[in-house]
Amino acid sequence: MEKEFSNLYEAKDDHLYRRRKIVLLIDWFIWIVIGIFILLGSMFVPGFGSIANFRNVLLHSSILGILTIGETLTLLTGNFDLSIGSVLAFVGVVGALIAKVGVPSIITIIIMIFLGAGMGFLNGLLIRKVKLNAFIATLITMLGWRRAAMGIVEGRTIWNLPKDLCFLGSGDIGGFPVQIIIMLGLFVFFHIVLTQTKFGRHIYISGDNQQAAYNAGIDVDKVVILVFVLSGTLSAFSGLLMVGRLDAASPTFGSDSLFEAMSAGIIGGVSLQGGVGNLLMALGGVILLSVISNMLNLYGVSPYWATTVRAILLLIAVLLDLLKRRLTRYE
Amino acid sequence: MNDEENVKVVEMIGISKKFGEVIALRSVDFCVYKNEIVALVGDNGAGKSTLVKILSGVFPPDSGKIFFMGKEVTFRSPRDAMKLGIRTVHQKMEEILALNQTVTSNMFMGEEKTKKWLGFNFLDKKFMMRETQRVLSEMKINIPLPQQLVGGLSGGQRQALAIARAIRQNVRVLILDEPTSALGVRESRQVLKLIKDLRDSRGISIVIISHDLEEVFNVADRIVVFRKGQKVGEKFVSSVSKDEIVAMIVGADIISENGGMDVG
Repeated sequence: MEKEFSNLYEAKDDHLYRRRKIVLLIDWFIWIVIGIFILLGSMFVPGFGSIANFRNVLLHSSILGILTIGETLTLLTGNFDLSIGSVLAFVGVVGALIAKVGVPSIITIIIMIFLGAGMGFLNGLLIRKVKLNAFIATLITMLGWRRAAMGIVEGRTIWNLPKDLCFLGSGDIGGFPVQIIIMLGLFVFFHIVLTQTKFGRHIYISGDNQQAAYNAGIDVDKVVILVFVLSGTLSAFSGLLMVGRLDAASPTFGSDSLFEAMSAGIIGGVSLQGGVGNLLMALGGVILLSVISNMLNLYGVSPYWATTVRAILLLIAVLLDLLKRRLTRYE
Repeated sequence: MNDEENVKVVEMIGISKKFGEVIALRSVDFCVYKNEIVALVGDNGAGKSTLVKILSGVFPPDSGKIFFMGKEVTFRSPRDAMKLGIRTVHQKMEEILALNQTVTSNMFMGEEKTKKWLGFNFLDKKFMMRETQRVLSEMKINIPLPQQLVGGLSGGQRQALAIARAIRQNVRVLILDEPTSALGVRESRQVLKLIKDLRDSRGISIVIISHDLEEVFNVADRIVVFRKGQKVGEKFVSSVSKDEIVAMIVGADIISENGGMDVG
Protein backbone atom coordinates (compact mmCIF):
# COMPACT_ATOMS: atom_id res chain seq x y z
CA MET A 1 0.00 0.00 0.00
CA GLU A 2 2.78 2.38 0.92
CA LYS A 3 4.50 1.61 -2.32
CA GLU A 4 1.41 2.32 -4.32
CA PHE A 5 0.91 5.62 -2.61
CA SER A 6 4.36 6.91 -3.28
CA ASN A 7 4.30 5.86 -6.92
CA LEU A 8 1.14 7.79 -7.35
CA TYR A 9 2.68 11.11 -6.50
CA GLU A 10 5.85 10.65 -8.46
CA ALA A 11 6.74 13.47 -10.82
CA LYS A 12 9.05 13.32 -13.76
CA ASP A 13 12.19 14.07 -11.82
CA ASP A 14 14.81 14.55 -14.55
CA HIS A 15 12.53 16.87 -16.34
CA LEU A 16 12.11 18.83 -13.15
CA TYR A 17 15.80 19.39 -12.57
CA ARG A 18 16.41 20.47 -16.13
CA ARG A 19 13.60 22.98 -15.96
CA ARG A 20 14.88 24.33 -12.68
CA LYS A 21 18.18 25.06 -14.36
CA ILE A 22 16.53 26.96 -17.20
CA VAL A 23 14.43 28.93 -14.73
CA LEU A 24 17.52 29.80 -12.69
CA LEU A 25 19.18 30.98 -15.89
CA ILE A 26 16.23 33.27 -16.66
CA ASP A 27 16.29 34.54 -13.08
CA TRP A 28 19.88 35.69 -13.40
CA PHE A 29 19.60 36.61 -17.07
CA ILE A 30 19.74 40.31 -16.26
CA TRP A 31 23.21 40.07 -14.70
CA ILE A 32 24.49 38.12 -17.70
CA VAL A 33 23.22 40.88 -19.97
CA ILE A 34 24.89 43.51 -17.78
CA GLY A 35 28.14 41.57 -17.98
CA ILE A 36 27.96 41.48 -21.77
CA PHE A 37 27.17 45.19 -21.98
CA ILE A 38 30.03 46.13 -19.66
CA LEU A 39 32.43 43.94 -21.62
CA LEU A 40 31.37 45.39 -24.97
CA GLY A 41 31.30 48.89 -23.53
CA SER A 42 34.84 48.69 -22.17
CA MET A 43 36.10 47.46 -25.53
CA PHE A 44 34.29 49.75 -27.92
CA VAL A 45 32.95 52.81 -26.11
CA PRO A 46 35.63 55.42 -25.41
CA GLY A 47 35.69 56.51 -21.78
CA PHE A 48 33.28 53.78 -20.62
CA GLY A 49 35.79 51.64 -18.73
CA SER A 50 37.14 54.34 -16.42
CA ILE A 51 36.54 54.32 -12.70
CA ALA A 52 35.14 57.85 -12.89
CA ASN A 53 32.54 56.63 -15.35
CA PHE A 54 31.72 53.62 -13.24
CA ARG A 55 31.11 56.01 -10.36
CA ASN A 56 28.92 58.04 -12.69
CA VAL A 57 26.77 55.04 -13.54
CA LEU A 58 26.25 54.23 -9.88
CA LEU A 59 25.49 57.85 -9.12
CA HIS A 60 22.90 57.88 -11.85
CA SER A 61 21.49 54.64 -10.40
CA SER A 62 21.17 55.76 -6.81
CA ILE A 63 17.91 57.72 -6.79
CA LEU A 64 16.35 55.45 -9.40
CA GLY A 65 17.54 52.48 -7.34
CA ILE A 66 15.84 53.62 -4.16
CA LEU A 67 12.59 54.31 -6.01
CA THR A 68 12.86 50.89 -7.63
CA ILE A 69 13.06 49.19 -4.23
CA GLY A 70 9.69 50.67 -3.29
CA GLU A 71 8.17 49.95 -6.66
CA THR A 72 9.44 46.35 -6.56
CA LEU A 73 7.89 45.80 -3.14
CA THR A 74 4.50 46.95 -4.43
CA LEU A 75 4.92 44.85 -7.60
CA LEU A 76 5.65 41.79 -5.46
CA THR A 77 2.34 42.24 -3.64
CA GLY A 78 0.62 42.23 -7.04
CA ASN A 79 0.00 45.97 -6.99
CA PHE A 80 1.96 48.93 -8.28
CA ASP A 81 2.54 52.47 -7.16
CA LEU A 82 2.12 55.15 -9.83
CA SER A 83 2.59 57.95 -7.33
CA ILE A 84 6.29 57.53 -6.49
CA GLY A 85 7.46 60.42 -8.71
CA SER A 86 4.77 62.74 -7.41
CA VAL A 87 5.51 61.86 -3.79
CA LEU A 88 9.18 62.58 -4.50
CA ALA A 89 8.32 66.03 -5.90
CA PHE A 90 5.77 66.96 -3.25
CA VAL A 91 7.98 65.92 -0.35
CA GLY A 92 10.95 67.70 -1.95
CA VAL A 93 9.07 70.96 -2.33
CA VAL A 94 7.56 70.85 1.16
CA GLY A 95 10.95 69.96 2.66
CA ALA A 96 12.64 72.83 0.86
CA LEU A 97 10.02 75.30 2.03
CA ILE A 98 10.36 74.12 5.62
CA ALA A 99 14.16 74.35 5.43
CA LYS A 100 13.93 77.88 4.03
CA VAL A 101 12.01 79.01 7.10
CA GLY A 102 15.04 78.05 9.15
CA VAL A 103 13.93 74.75 10.67
CA PRO A 104 16.98 72.60 11.58
CA SER A 105 17.77 70.16 8.77
CA ILE A 106 17.44 67.04 10.90
CA ILE A 107 13.88 68.00 11.76
CA THR A 108 13.16 68.84 8.11
CA ILE A 109 14.41 65.40 7.12
CA ILE A 110 12.25 63.68 9.72
CA ILE A 111 9.19 65.62 8.57
CA MET A 112 9.88 64.70 4.94
CA ILE A 113 10.23 61.00 5.73
CA PHE A 114 7.04 60.92 7.80
CA LEU A 115 5.20 62.87 5.12
CA GLY A 116 6.20 60.25 2.54
CA ALA A 117 5.16 57.44 4.88
CA GLY A 118 1.78 59.12 5.38
CA MET A 119 1.27 59.49 1.63
CA GLY A 120 2.10 55.82 1.17
CA PHE A 121 -0.33 54.97 3.96
CA LEU A 122 -3.05 56.86 2.10
CA ASN A 123 -2.36 54.77 -1.03
CA GLY A 124 -2.55 51.62 1.05
CA LEU A 125 -5.84 52.64 2.65
CA LEU A 126 -7.40 53.53 -0.72
CA ILE A 127 -6.41 50.14 -2.11
CA ARG A 128 -7.11 47.81 0.81
CA LYS A 129 -9.81 49.56 2.83
CA VAL A 130 -11.71 51.63 0.22
CA LYS A 131 -11.00 48.75 -2.19
CA LEU A 132 -10.03 50.83 -5.21
CA ASN A 133 -7.77 49.03 -7.59
CA ALA A 134 -4.12 50.02 -7.40
CA PHE A 135 -4.19 51.71 -10.78
CA ILE A 136 -7.02 54.10 -9.92
CA ALA A 137 -5.89 54.73 -6.34
CA THR A 138 -2.32 55.63 -7.19
CA LEU A 139 -3.33 57.48 -10.37
CA ILE A 140 -5.43 59.75 -8.17
CA THR A 141 -2.60 60.37 -5.73
CA MET A 142 -0.09 60.69 -8.57
CA LEU A 143 -2.07 63.50 -10.19
CA GLY A 144 -3.12 65.01 -6.88
CA TRP A 145 0.31 65.32 -5.26
CA ARG A 146 2.02 66.53 -8.43
CA ARG A 147 -0.51 69.33 -8.87
CA ALA A 148 -0.43 70.15 -5.20
CA ALA A 149 3.36 70.50 -5.39
CA MET A 150 2.95 72.81 -8.40
CA GLY A 151 0.30 74.79 -6.56
CA ILE A 152 2.27 75.32 -3.38
CA VAL A 153 5.20 76.98 -5.14
CA GLU A 154 3.23 78.10 -8.19
CA GLY A 155 5.50 76.13 -10.46
CA ARG A 156 8.70 77.84 -9.31
CA THR A 157 11.94 76.17 -8.27
CA ILE A 158 13.36 76.78 -4.80
CA TRP A 159 17.13 77.35 -4.73
CA ASN A 160 19.90 77.70 -2.17
CA LEU A 161 19.08 75.20 0.52
CA PRO A 162 20.98 74.61 3.77
CA LYS A 163 24.27 72.70 3.32
CA ASP A 164 23.49 69.97 5.81
CA LEU A 165 20.16 69.22 4.16
CA CYS A 166 22.07 68.57 0.94
CA PHE A 167 24.69 66.32 2.53
CA LEU A 168 22.85 63.04 1.91
CA GLY A 169 22.31 63.89 -1.74
CA SER A 170 25.64 65.41 -2.64
CA GLY A 171 28.15 64.72 0.10
CA ASP A 172 30.79 62.04 0.14
CA ILE A 173 32.55 59.93 2.72
CA GLY A 174 36.22 59.39 1.89
CA GLY A 175 35.57 60.31 -1.73
CA PHE A 176 32.67 57.89 -2.06
CA PRO A 177 29.27 59.53 -2.70
CA VAL A 178 26.89 59.16 0.22
CA GLN A 179 23.91 58.45 -2.01
CA ILE A 180 25.55 55.39 -3.53
CA ILE A 181 26.26 54.02 -0.06
CA ILE A 182 22.65 54.68 0.95
CA MET A 183 21.28 53.03 -2.19
CA LEU A 184 23.38 49.88 -1.80
CA GLY A 185 22.65 49.75 1.93
CA LEU A 186 18.90 49.95 1.31
CA PHE A 187 19.10 47.19 -1.30
CA VAL A 188 20.91 44.90 1.14
CA PHE A 189 18.51 45.74 3.96
CA PHE A 190 15.34 45.17 1.95
CA HIS A 191 16.78 42.07 0.31
CA ILE A 192 17.23 40.58 3.77
CA VAL A 193 13.72 41.66 4.75
CA LEU A 194 12.26 39.98 1.67
CA THR A 195 14.18 36.72 1.85
CA GLN A 196 14.78 36.18 5.55
CA THR A 197 11.72 37.47 7.42
CA LYS A 198 8.14 36.48 7.90
CA PHE A 199 6.99 39.82 6.54
CA GLY A 200 8.97 39.19 3.34
CA ARG A 201 7.39 35.74 2.92
CA HIS A 202 3.97 37.26 3.43
CA ILE A 203 4.66 39.85 0.71
CA TYR A 204 5.39 37.06 -1.77
CA ILE A 205 2.44 34.92 -0.76
CA SER A 206 -0.02 37.83 -0.71
CA GLY A 207 1.14 38.88 -4.16
CA ASP A 208 1.07 35.38 -5.57
CA ASN A 209 -2.35 34.41 -4.26
CA GLN A 210 -4.24 36.89 -2.15
CA GLN A 211 -7.11 34.54 -1.40
CA ALA A 212 -4.79 31.74 -0.34
CA ALA A 213 -2.86 34.13 1.89
CA TYR A 214 -6.07 35.29 3.55
CA ASN A 215 -7.35 31.75 4.00
CA ALA A 216 -4.05 30.80 5.62
CA GLY A 217 -4.52 33.53 8.19
CA ILE A 218 -2.17 36.14 6.71
CA ASP A 219 -3.34 39.70 7.27
CA VAL A 220 -3.14 40.78 3.62
CA ASP A 221 -4.44 44.30 4.37
CA LYS A 222 -1.63 44.87 6.84
CA VAL A 223 1.03 43.50 4.50
CA VAL A 224 -0.07 45.58 1.51
CA ILE A 225 -0.62 48.80 3.46
CA LEU A 226 2.79 48.44 5.09
CA VAL A 227 4.39 47.89 1.69
CA PHE A 228 2.80 51.10 0.39
CA VAL A 229 4.02 52.95 3.48
CA LEU A 230 7.52 51.69 2.66
CA SER A 231 7.13 52.73 -0.97
CA GLY A 232 6.05 56.23 0.12
CA THR A 233 8.89 56.45 2.60
CA LEU A 234 11.46 55.40 0.01
CA SER A 235 10.03 57.90 -2.48
CA ALA A 236 10.33 60.64 0.13
CA PHE A 237 13.90 59.56 0.75
CA SER A 238 14.61 59.78 -2.97
CA GLY A 239 13.12 63.28 -2.92
CA LEU A 240 15.50 64.21 -0.13
CA LEU A 241 18.46 62.91 -2.14
CA MET A 242 17.41 64.64 -5.33
CA VAL A 243 16.91 67.95 -3.56
CA GLY A 244 20.33 67.54 -2.01
CA ARG A 245 22.03 66.55 -5.25
CA LEU A 246 20.67 69.53 -7.18
CA ASP A 247 20.55 71.96 -4.25
CA ALA A 248 17.05 72.82 -5.42
CA ALA A 249 13.46 71.66 -5.23
CA SER A 250 11.13 71.79 -8.18
CA PRO A 251 7.58 70.42 -8.50
CA THR A 252 8.63 68.81 -11.79
CA PHE A 253 11.21 66.56 -10.12
CA GLY A 254 10.77 62.88 -10.74
CA SER A 255 8.44 63.21 -13.72
CA ASP A 256 10.06 60.23 -15.45
CA SER A 257 10.80 58.31 -12.26
CA LEU A 258 7.71 56.17 -12.36
CA PHE A 259 8.35 54.75 -15.79
CA GLU A 260 12.04 54.25 -15.08
CA ALA A 261 11.55 52.52 -11.73
CA MET A 262 8.78 50.29 -12.96
CA SER A 263 10.67 49.26 -16.08
CA ALA A 264 13.85 48.68 -14.07
CA GLY A 265 12.00 46.23 -11.85
CA ILE A 266 10.28 44.47 -14.72
CA ILE A 267 13.42 44.32 -16.87
CA GLY A 268 15.17 42.76 -13.90
CA GLY A 269 12.56 40.01 -13.86
CA VAL A 270 10.01 41.16 -11.27
CA SER A 271 6.59 40.04 -12.45
CA LEU A 272 3.68 42.44 -12.83
CA GLN A 273 1.41 39.66 -11.61
CA GLY A 274 2.93 39.57 -8.16
CA GLY A 275 4.85 37.06 -6.10
CA VAL A 276 7.77 36.58 -8.50
CA GLY A 277 11.10 38.36 -8.52
CA ASN A 278 13.58 39.76 -6.05
CA LEU A 279 15.59 42.88 -5.33
CA LEU A 280 18.85 41.61 -6.81
CA MET A 281 17.03 41.27 -10.12
CA ALA A 282 15.57 44.74 -9.70
CA LEU A 283 19.02 46.15 -8.91
CA GLY A 284 20.20 44.48 -12.12
CA GLY A 285 17.44 46.27 -14.00
CA VAL A 286 18.45 49.61 -12.50
CA ILE A 287 22.11 49.14 -13.37
CA LEU A 288 21.39 47.90 -16.89
CA LEU A 289 19.24 50.97 -17.61
CA SER A 290 21.95 53.24 -16.24
CA VAL A 291 24.69 51.48 -18.19
CA ILE A 292 22.75 51.75 -21.42
CA SER A 293 21.85 55.42 -21.09
CA ASN A 294 25.48 56.06 -20.06
CA MET A 295 26.75 54.34 -23.21
CA LEU A 296 24.33 56.14 -25.47
CA ASN A 297 25.40 59.34 -23.77
CA LEU A 298 29.09 58.70 -24.37
CA TYR A 299 28.35 57.93 -27.99
CA GLY A 300 26.54 61.22 -28.27
CA VAL A 301 23.23 59.59 -29.11
CA SER A 302 20.20 61.74 -28.37
CA PRO A 303 18.66 60.81 -24.97
CA TYR A 304 15.33 60.34 -26.69
CA TRP A 305 16.55 57.05 -28.06
CA ALA A 306 17.27 55.77 -24.55
CA THR A 307 13.56 55.42 -23.96
CA THR A 308 13.12 53.42 -27.14
CA VAL A 309 15.89 51.05 -26.09
CA ARG A 310 14.21 50.72 -22.71
CA ALA A 311 10.91 49.85 -24.38
CA ILE A 312 12.58 47.01 -26.30
CA LEU A 313 14.19 45.70 -23.11
CA LEU A 314 10.82 45.86 -21.40
CA LEU A 315 9.28 43.73 -24.13
CA ILE A 316 12.06 41.13 -23.84
CA ALA A 317 11.66 41.04 -20.05
CA VAL A 318 7.91 40.47 -20.22
CA LEU A 319 8.36 37.69 -22.77
CA LEU A 320 10.94 36.00 -20.54
CA ASP A 321 8.53 36.20 -17.61
CA LEU A 322 5.90 34.44 -19.71
CA LEU A 323 8.39 31.75 -20.71
CA LYS A 324 9.38 31.21 -17.09
CA ARG A 325 5.77 30.84 -16.00
CA ARG A 326 5.24 28.20 -18.66
CA LEU A 327 8.33 26.29 -17.62
CA THR A 328 7.36 26.13 -13.96
CA ARG A 329 3.86 24.78 -14.62
CA TYR A 330 3.02 21.12 -14.48
CA GLU A 331 2.03 19.41 -17.69
CA MET B 1 -20.80 5.03 21.15
CA ASN B 2 -19.47 5.83 24.61
CA ASP B 3 -19.53 9.14 26.46
CA GLU B 4 -15.98 9.99 25.54
CA GLU B 5 -16.89 10.04 21.88
CA ASN B 6 -20.14 11.85 22.44
CA VAL B 7 -18.40 15.15 23.15
CA LYS B 8 -19.51 17.89 20.81
CA VAL B 9 -16.38 19.59 19.53
CA VAL B 10 -18.29 22.13 17.50
CA GLU B 11 -21.89 23.18 17.85
CA MET B 12 -23.50 25.74 15.57
CA ILE B 13 -26.98 26.95 16.48
CA GLY B 14 -29.43 28.92 14.34
CA ILE B 15 -26.91 29.94 11.69
CA SER B 16 -28.33 32.20 8.97
CA LYS B 17 -26.56 33.91 6.10
CA LYS B 18 -27.74 36.09 3.25
CA PHE B 19 -25.77 37.24 0.23
CA GLY B 20 -27.67 40.25 -1.05
CA GLU B 21 -31.16 38.91 -1.69
CA VAL B 22 -30.08 35.28 -1.79
CA ILE B 23 -30.64 33.34 1.40
CA ALA B 24 -27.76 30.89 1.64
CA LEU B 25 -28.54 29.48 5.09
CA ARG B 26 -31.77 29.58 7.05
CA SER B 27 -31.39 28.96 10.78
CA VAL B 28 -29.23 25.85 10.57
CA ASP B 29 -28.12 23.77 13.57
CA PHE B 30 -25.05 21.64 13.11
CA CYS B 31 -22.62 19.85 15.34
CA VAL B 32 -19.44 17.82 15.08
CA TYR B 33 -18.65 15.06 17.57
CA LYS B 34 -15.22 14.06 18.67
CA ASN B 35 -13.37 11.63 16.44
CA GLU B 36 -16.02 11.27 13.77
CA ILE B 37 -16.24 11.84 10.06
CA VAL B 38 -19.37 13.75 9.21
CA ALA B 39 -20.35 14.31 5.59
CA LEU B 40 -22.35 17.27 4.32
CA VAL B 41 -24.37 16.47 1.23
CA GLY B 42 -26.85 18.40 -0.88
CA ASP B 43 -27.39 19.90 -4.27
CA ASN B 44 -25.40 22.84 -5.58
CA GLY B 45 -26.32 25.97 -3.68
CA ALA B 46 -27.82 24.01 -0.79
CA GLY B 47 -25.61 25.86 1.70
CA LYS B 48 -22.91 23.32 2.56
CA SER B 49 -19.99 25.44 1.47
CA THR B 50 -21.41 28.53 3.13
CA LEU B 51 -21.72 26.64 6.41
CA VAL B 52 -18.13 25.42 6.39
CA LYS B 53 -16.87 28.83 5.36
CA ILE B 54 -18.59 30.28 8.41
CA LEU B 55 -17.09 27.53 10.54
CA SER B 56 -13.63 28.26 9.19
CA GLY B 57 -13.96 32.00 9.71
CA VAL B 58 -13.93 33.09 6.07
CA PHE B 59 -17.01 35.22 6.74
CA PRO B 60 -19.29 35.70 9.77
CA PRO B 61 -22.91 34.50 9.96
CA ASP B 62 -25.72 37.10 9.92
CA SER B 63 -27.16 35.44 13.01
CA GLY B 64 -26.59 32.34 15.09
CA LYS B 65 -24.04 31.12 17.58
CA ILE B 66 -20.95 28.96 17.33
CA PHE B 67 -19.70 26.91 20.29
CA PHE B 68 -16.30 25.26 20.44
CA MET B 69 -15.87 22.64 23.18
CA GLY B 70 -18.93 24.16 24.84
CA LYS B 71 -17.65 27.75 24.80
CA GLU B 72 -19.17 30.40 22.58
CA VAL B 73 -16.74 31.78 19.99
CA THR B 74 -16.79 34.38 17.24
CA PHE B 75 -14.46 34.27 14.26
CA ARG B 76 -13.40 37.53 12.67
CA SER B 77 -10.98 35.88 10.25
CA PRO B 78 -9.73 32.40 9.35
CA ARG B 79 -6.91 32.99 11.79
CA ASP B 80 -9.31 32.92 14.75
CA ALA B 81 -10.66 29.54 13.70
CA MET B 82 -7.16 28.22 13.06
CA LYS B 83 -6.09 29.16 16.57
CA LEU B 84 -8.70 26.78 17.93
CA GLY B 85 -7.52 24.03 15.62
CA ILE B 86 -10.26 24.29 13.02
CA ARG B 87 -8.45 23.83 9.72
CA THR B 88 -9.95 23.93 6.28
CA VAL B 89 -8.89 22.61 2.93
CA HIS B 90 -11.05 24.59 0.55
CA GLN B 91 -12.40 23.08 -2.61
CA LYS B 92 -10.44 25.17 -5.03
CA MET B 93 -6.71 24.54 -4.83
CA GLU B 94 -6.23 27.97 -6.39
CA GLU B 95 -7.66 29.46 -3.19
CA ILE B 96 -5.23 27.73 -0.84
CA LEU B 97 -1.89 27.30 -2.57
CA ALA B 98 0.50 29.92 -3.91
CA LEU B 99 1.77 28.38 -7.13
CA ASN B 100 4.89 30.46 -7.63
CA GLN B 101 6.18 29.75 -4.12
CA THR B 102 8.02 26.69 -2.89
CA VAL B 103 6.50 23.61 -1.28
CA THR B 104 8.03 24.64 2.04
CA SER B 105 6.70 28.16 1.77
CA ASN B 106 3.21 26.76 1.16
CA MET B 107 3.51 24.20 3.93
CA PHE B 108 4.20 26.95 6.47
CA MET B 109 2.01 29.62 4.90
CA GLY B 110 0.95 32.07 7.59
CA GLU B 111 2.75 30.06 10.31
CA GLU B 112 6.37 30.57 9.36
CA LYS B 113 8.83 29.43 11.98
CA THR B 114 11.29 32.08 13.08
CA LYS B 115 14.31 32.20 15.30
CA LYS B 116 15.87 35.13 17.09
CA TRP B 117 19.20 36.45 15.89
CA LEU B 118 20.67 39.70 17.20
CA GLY B 119 17.27 40.53 18.63
CA PHE B 120 15.44 40.18 15.33
CA ASN B 121 13.17 37.40 14.12
CA PHE B 122 14.49 35.65 11.06
CA LEU B 123 12.93 32.75 9.18
CA ASP B 124 14.19 29.39 10.35
CA LYS B 125 14.48 27.99 6.84
CA LYS B 126 16.41 24.87 7.81
CA PHE B 127 13.77 23.85 10.33
CA MET B 128 10.93 24.46 7.89
CA MET B 129 12.66 22.48 5.18
CA ARG B 130 13.30 19.51 7.47
CA GLU B 131 9.80 19.64 8.92
CA THR B 132 8.29 19.71 5.42
CA GLN B 133 10.27 16.65 4.43
CA ARG B 134 9.27 14.90 7.64
CA VAL B 135 5.54 15.57 7.24
CA LEU B 136 5.52 14.60 3.58
CA SER B 137 7.35 11.34 4.17
CA GLU B 138 5.21 10.56 7.22
CA MET B 139 2.15 10.82 5.03
CA LYS B 140 3.92 8.94 2.25
CA ILE B 141 3.52 11.78 -0.19
CA ASN B 142 6.16 11.84 -2.88
CA ILE B 143 7.19 15.40 -3.53
CA PRO B 144 10.87 15.11 -4.38
CA LEU B 145 12.07 18.64 -3.59
CA PRO B 146 10.73 20.79 -0.75
CA GLN B 147 12.23 23.80 -2.55
CA GLN B 148 10.39 23.20 -5.80
CA LEU B 149 7.55 25.45 -6.87
CA VAL B 150 4.02 24.23 -6.20
CA GLY B 151 3.00 25.21 -9.74
CA GLY B 152 5.05 22.24 -10.92
CA LEU B 153 3.07 19.67 -8.89
CA SER B 154 0.27 17.45 -10.15
CA GLY B 155 -3.31 17.73 -8.92
CA GLY B 156 -2.90 14.82 -6.52
CA GLN B 157 0.34 16.18 -5.13
CA ARG B 158 -1.26 19.58 -4.57
CA GLN B 159 -4.27 18.07 -2.79
CA ALA B 160 -2.02 15.97 -0.60
CA LEU B 161 0.14 19.00 0.19
CA ALA B 162 -2.95 21.00 1.13
CA ILE B 163 -4.12 18.30 3.53
CA ALA B 164 -0.63 17.83 4.93
CA ARG B 165 -0.45 21.53 5.66
CA ALA B 166 -3.83 21.54 7.36
CA ILE B 167 -2.95 18.71 9.72
CA ARG B 168 0.69 19.58 10.31
CA GLN B 169 -0.02 20.81 13.80
CA ASN B 170 -2.74 21.56 16.31
CA VAL B 171 -5.77 20.28 14.48
CA ARG B 172 -9.06 19.38 16.21
CA VAL B 173 -11.48 19.72 13.32
CA LEU B 174 -10.42 19.23 9.72
CA ILE B 175 -12.81 20.58 7.10
CA LEU B 176 -12.47 19.20 3.59
CA ASP B 177 -14.53 20.86 0.88
CA GLU B 178 -14.83 18.40 -2.04
CA PRO B 179 -11.35 16.96 -1.50
CA THR B 180 -11.56 14.57 -4.44
CA SER B 181 -13.55 16.50 -7.03
CA ALA B 182 -10.49 17.41 -9.09
CA LEU B 183 -8.80 14.02 -8.81
CA GLY B 184 -8.78 10.82 -10.81
CA VAL B 185 -10.19 7.57 -9.44
CA ARG B 186 -6.94 6.23 -8.07
CA GLU B 187 -5.88 9.52 -6.56
CA SER B 188 -9.32 9.91 -4.94
CA ARG B 189 -9.06 6.49 -3.31
CA GLN B 190 -5.71 7.39 -1.83
CA VAL B 191 -6.95 10.69 -0.46
CA LEU B 192 -9.95 8.97 1.14
CA LYS B 193 -7.68 6.42 2.74
CA LEU B 194 -5.54 9.26 4.01
CA ILE B 195 -8.62 10.85 5.56
CA LYS B 196 -9.67 7.65 7.34
CA ASP B 197 -6.13 7.07 8.59
CA LEU B 198 -6.08 10.57 10.02
CA ARG B 199 -9.25 10.03 11.99
CA ASP B 200 -7.98 6.73 13.35
CA SER B 201 -4.39 7.73 14.12
CA ARG B 202 -4.86 11.29 15.30
CA GLY B 203 -8.34 11.22 16.81
CA ILE B 204 -9.50 14.34 15.03
CA SER B 205 -12.95 15.18 13.75
CA ILE B 206 -13.42 15.57 10.03
CA VAL B 207 -16.13 17.45 8.18
CA ILE B 208 -16.25 16.48 4.54
CA ILE B 209 -18.34 17.98 1.76
CA SER B 210 -18.93 15.69 -1.16
CA HIS B 211 -21.21 15.17 -4.11
CA ASP B 212 -20.24 11.55 -4.46
CA LEU B 213 -22.55 9.39 -2.31
CA GLU B 214 -20.43 6.31 -2.97
CA GLU B 215 -17.55 8.13 -1.38
CA VAL B 216 -19.67 9.46 1.48
CA PHE B 217 -20.95 6.01 2.42
CA ASN B 218 -17.44 4.66 2.17
CA VAL B 219 -15.80 7.18 4.47
CA ALA B 220 -18.33 8.93 6.73
CA ASP B 221 -19.89 7.96 10.06
CA ARG B 222 -22.75 10.41 9.83
CA ILE B 223 -24.46 12.27 7.01
CA VAL B 224 -26.11 15.67 7.17
CA VAL B 225 -28.34 16.65 4.24
CA PHE B 226 -28.91 20.20 3.08
CA ARG B 227 -31.50 21.57 0.71
CA LYS B 228 -32.16 25.18 -0.22
CA GLY B 229 -30.24 26.57 2.73
CA GLN B 230 -31.84 24.31 5.32
CA LYS B 231 -30.80 21.16 7.08
CA VAL B 232 -33.31 18.53 6.02
CA GLY B 233 -31.86 15.38 7.52
CA GLU B 234 -29.19 13.89 9.75
CA LYS B 235 -28.48 10.15 9.72
CA PHE B 236 -25.87 7.65 10.78
CA VAL B 237 -24.48 5.83 7.78
CA SER B 238 -25.28 2.49 9.40
CA SER B 239 -28.97 3.30 9.62
CA VAL B 240 -29.76 4.80 6.25
CA SER B 241 -29.72 3.78 2.60
CA LYS B 242 -28.40 5.69 -0.36
CA ASP B 243 -31.90 6.03 -1.81
CA GLU B 244 -33.15 7.71 1.32
CA ILE B 245 -30.30 10.21 1.20
CA VAL B 246 -30.94 10.92 -2.49
CA ALA B 247 -34.60 11.45 -1.70
CA MET B 248 -33.70 13.94 1.02
CA ILE B 249 -31.33 15.79 -1.30
CA VAL B 250 -33.93 16.24 -4.01
CA GLY B 251 -36.84 16.60 -1.60
CA ALA B 252 -39.01 13.68 -2.67
CA ASP B 253 -41.96 12.56 -0.59
CA ILE B 254 -41.00 8.98 0.25
CA ILE B 255 -39.09 10.25 3.24
CA SER B 256 -42.21 11.51 4.96
CA GLU B 257 -43.62 8.01 4.97
CA ASN B 258 -40.41 6.39 6.18
CA GLY B 259 -38.92 8.69 8.73
CA GLY B 260 -41.49 11.41 9.24
CA MET B 261 -39.01 13.96 8.01
CA ASP B 262 -40.56 17.23 7.01
CA VAL B 263 -38.95 18.13 3.77
CA GLY B 264 -41.70 20.22 2.20
